[in-house]
Amino acid sequence: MNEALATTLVGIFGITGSLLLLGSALAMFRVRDALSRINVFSPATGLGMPFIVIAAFIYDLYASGFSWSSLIMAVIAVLCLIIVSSVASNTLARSAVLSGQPVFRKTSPNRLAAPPEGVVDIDPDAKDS
Amino acid sequence: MIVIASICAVILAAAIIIGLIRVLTARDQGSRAVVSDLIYFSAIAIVTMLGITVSSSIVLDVIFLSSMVGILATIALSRILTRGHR
Amino acid sequence: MRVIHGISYVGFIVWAIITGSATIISRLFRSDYAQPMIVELPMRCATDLEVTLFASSITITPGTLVTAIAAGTSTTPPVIFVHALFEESEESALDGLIDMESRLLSMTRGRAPGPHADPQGGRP
Repeated sequence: MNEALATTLVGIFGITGSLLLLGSALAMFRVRDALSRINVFSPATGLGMPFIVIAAFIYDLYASGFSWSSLIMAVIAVLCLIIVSSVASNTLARSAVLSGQPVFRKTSPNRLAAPPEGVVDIDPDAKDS
Repeated sequence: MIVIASICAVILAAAIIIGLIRVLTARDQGSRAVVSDLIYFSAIAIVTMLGITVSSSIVLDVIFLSSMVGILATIALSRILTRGHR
Repeated sequence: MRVIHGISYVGFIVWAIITGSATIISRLFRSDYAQPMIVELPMRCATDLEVTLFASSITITPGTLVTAIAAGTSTTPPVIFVHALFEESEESALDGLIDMESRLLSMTRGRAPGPHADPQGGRP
């Protein structure tokens, strides 16, 4: 792989990935509550960081030649980023709801505010008075 | 190659600064937790670009290891948000 | 057959990630950015593996996020609560989720699942 091709590919993938991270940071200003911010963060980890990994892999290909270990390392890194960020976002959203973070008041319909149909929502330990 | 890596690093630094402004103006703790995640991943990308700039040979190892332990900070922050309850 | 469904499901998820990211970035400079909503969907997924895969697939798609999962009982199915940002109405959000769930169940069970019993959860 000659230098011009490597530089072009690293530039395309690296700058696109960086712009996706920047776009996620800007999108956090356009939404109002914590749940929406966790939601608009997923382009950064789902598409931006894999692009950075691809840029690093192309640089490694250019600098030290092809080897199976670096290919496996890049594939595992992309898979880990996607799976790990998904599980982390789930956990963070769940704890944001459980700890009572405010939800934007124009969220409609908000099915979490009311119990599902047919569920009796009465505390059995409450004293009846 | 050095020019490309520098441009990427500048864009990522802008993302980190925007995130820090968001931390200053946020009112609830959940938003701050998300911004910490953004800053973590941007810092990893900056380290990668620094490795490309100085022609390091462990660029891929850095991003491989840090992508696997990236969940720990987020899990710890969500435990802090709920005061230790699961 | 199951392998073909698996490959097509992975391609579907990758395409959803790309189009969802393009949506989030391209709406950045419009005045009406998002309409958040939290919808409720009784799931057809039964086992733990299916529920986990479905929740992870929803969360990794930009624009939708799982906020809570209610466990099912012997008579009622498990219920998932999804935070959606860029959908026009509740019906279109539920249609997208049911489509994704059908593809997932085709992958794990090897055949297409039956139709959804009550997508509105008994609501008018």
